Amino acid sequence: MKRIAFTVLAILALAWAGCPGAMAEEKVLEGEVTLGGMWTLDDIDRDEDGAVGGVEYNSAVDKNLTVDLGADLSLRSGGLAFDGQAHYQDGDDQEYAGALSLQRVLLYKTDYNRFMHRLGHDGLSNLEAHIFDLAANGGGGLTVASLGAAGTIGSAAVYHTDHNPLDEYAVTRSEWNNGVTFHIPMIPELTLGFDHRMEKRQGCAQARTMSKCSACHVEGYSRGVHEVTNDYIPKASLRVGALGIEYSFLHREFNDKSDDLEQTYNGLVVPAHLNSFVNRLQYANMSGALPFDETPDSTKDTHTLKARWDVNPQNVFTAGFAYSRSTNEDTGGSYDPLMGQFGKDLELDSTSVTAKWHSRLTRALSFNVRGSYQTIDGDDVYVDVADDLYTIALAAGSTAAANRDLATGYGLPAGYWDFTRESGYNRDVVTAGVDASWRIMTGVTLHGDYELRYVDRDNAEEYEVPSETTEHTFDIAGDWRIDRSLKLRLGYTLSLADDAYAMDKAVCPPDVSGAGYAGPGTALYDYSRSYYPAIYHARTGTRSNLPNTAHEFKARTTWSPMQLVSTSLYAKYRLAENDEVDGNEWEQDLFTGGINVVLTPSEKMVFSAGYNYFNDKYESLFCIAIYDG
Amino acid sequence: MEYRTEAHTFTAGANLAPLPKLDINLNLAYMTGRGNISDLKFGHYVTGDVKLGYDSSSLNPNQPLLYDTAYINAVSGYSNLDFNELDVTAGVSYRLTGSMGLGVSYYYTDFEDDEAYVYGEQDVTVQSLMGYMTYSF
Repeated sequence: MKRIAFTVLAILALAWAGCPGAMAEEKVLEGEVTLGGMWTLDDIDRDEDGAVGGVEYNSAVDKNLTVDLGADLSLRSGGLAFDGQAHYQDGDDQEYAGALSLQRVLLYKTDYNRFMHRLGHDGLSNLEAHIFDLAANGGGGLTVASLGAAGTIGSAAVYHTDHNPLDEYAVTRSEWNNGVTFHIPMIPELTLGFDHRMEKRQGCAQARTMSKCSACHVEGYSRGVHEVTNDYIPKASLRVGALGIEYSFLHREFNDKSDDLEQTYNGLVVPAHLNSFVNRLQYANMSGALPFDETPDSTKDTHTLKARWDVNPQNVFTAGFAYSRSTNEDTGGSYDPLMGQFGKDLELDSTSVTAKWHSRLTRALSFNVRGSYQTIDGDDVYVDVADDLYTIALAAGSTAAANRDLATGYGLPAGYWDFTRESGYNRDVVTAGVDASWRIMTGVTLHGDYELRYVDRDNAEEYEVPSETTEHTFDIAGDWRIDRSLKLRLGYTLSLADDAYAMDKAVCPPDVSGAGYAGPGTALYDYSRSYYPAIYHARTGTRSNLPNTAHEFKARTTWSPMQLVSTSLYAKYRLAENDEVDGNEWEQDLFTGGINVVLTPSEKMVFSAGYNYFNDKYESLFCIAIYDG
Repeated sequence: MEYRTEAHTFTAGANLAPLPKLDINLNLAYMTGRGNISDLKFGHYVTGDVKLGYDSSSLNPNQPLLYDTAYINAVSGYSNLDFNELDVTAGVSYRLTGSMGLGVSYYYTDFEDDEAYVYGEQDVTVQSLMGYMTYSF
């Protein structure tokens, strides 16, 4: 369809140029067309189907022969101007762009690109941790295959099933942008416009889901991908003297048109030796086939207002206001705890204001003062924990009593575990900053920047994260033109944070790491070592993957000792740490640097060479909960 | 635990016009990368994991039905990276007349994956040859 649109646009431009009224002496039509083909000598798979190394975004190599078509067109005729480019290599590798101007009153721009992204296929083979021998009965007298059947004895096990082991996965992404701008001749101060953007993701990807209780059974399925996002953006701008105002409205629609996937999970397994059993499952095979791996349809509406005031040639004020509402369209149905439906579309509101003052005090000294405030407010969600009574077929010979639901199993009234989840998005964010640039002398310029960022989270206690985070960022840089052939730039950035974002109960106490788990008991089934006391409750240590102190050094030099040689050296070093966490410090140590050399002996000869080195090292505390059945 | 990634990238290119109507270009890119987790280790407790050949029945007659931490310790290997990639592009174009031209380009990609795990071995070698004709107006 985009090819047709581009062709129509070009034909319209050519037709206009052909009209007698449009013909003018300065008519110029120029361009280039390319007709070619590509022969792939080897196919993509050298050793194994689905390999993507080095050709992750190359769709043409799947075929032995593909066409390669290109065009570049430029037309000028009277008040008409048209520029267009097109490249078609394969159905999944296309790129087009066009711009049309009519008397400078109507401007239309469009571009389209499409490419394929190969995705990996996880064989899930690492998800195989259990004591059972697949070929023969193991320690419990069971094979792993029997774990999925209701009535079998539960045990600690992780195993997998890939239902589509031979499928190859890829998603084709396309984006089509259109923009029309209309300058009203009678009102030159006013400009009207309308932008449209459509993004599509189509293909096939791997979806995974997992059963719980009896075993962690991870299953993979092939899933069709068909997602469409449309943005509609009407806008207007007005310029009156030194004051300019621009307003735009964005309406975004996201639709997931992919076919639903459903899964019937493994059965709840009742330990046959227990006299009573409290069912804690939210769903199992008795729930029937359930949907999984769904992305809800959503909309977003944003109002944006910008203003600019050129007070005088030395001072400029700019300000902005934005309000947006994002809506989850899949939550408005009847209550369904699995789907999160609770009879009301979930909404997230964001309001922000920004302001900036730019001043050039002298020809050598200028500064900016800036600030912003944003508040985010998300809906609360009522969570009705599914503590239904499940009827389970017990293993033969079991003496277990009747199964009980979650609440009554603990002697509590029905609905005891229900709760209202407050939004983790709710917060206020304030930023303020000042930066200056000072040319000390010819060839030497200094830059300085300071920014304060303060985050106040409303529901921090519920999510066990810091309620407030304050960040200070200091940046200083200098440019030094030593002589006509040598330039040097040095920079240093210091970032400090009080209470960097972290999880307060992320890990076991590091000084007794592992001690919270006593190992197997003497009884065959010791359910006293359940998740809550042994795993979750034992987690009291705070961890984060963000620094509270970070130093970053940058250096870059360009050297051109003679006209035919150009050399550049660059390096960046970052040392970051967080010593507010429990246990050993979180640390990052990163270095990247390189050299580029360009040699131009003549206008007909250009040689280039480059080298880059990258080294990144993280150090952190890792706390893994060992599944205990 | 410690996670470290390291990469070296080399590039080289040449654009030549030895004759007024002839253009030649050659580009090479080679990257080699490594990555690994270290200092990730869990203590061992006695299980009766028959897959791993453990029999603890003399110590614990009940042989608890738990998998062994040996599986967790294997996690450090899942993130290992060890790959080499070579890309070569060579092209020649010749202008037949003021408006007509011909060109040939050759593409070579070789990717070697020496630490395959989750997504399988990603080794790929591809060679492509493209011919084209241009018309300018």
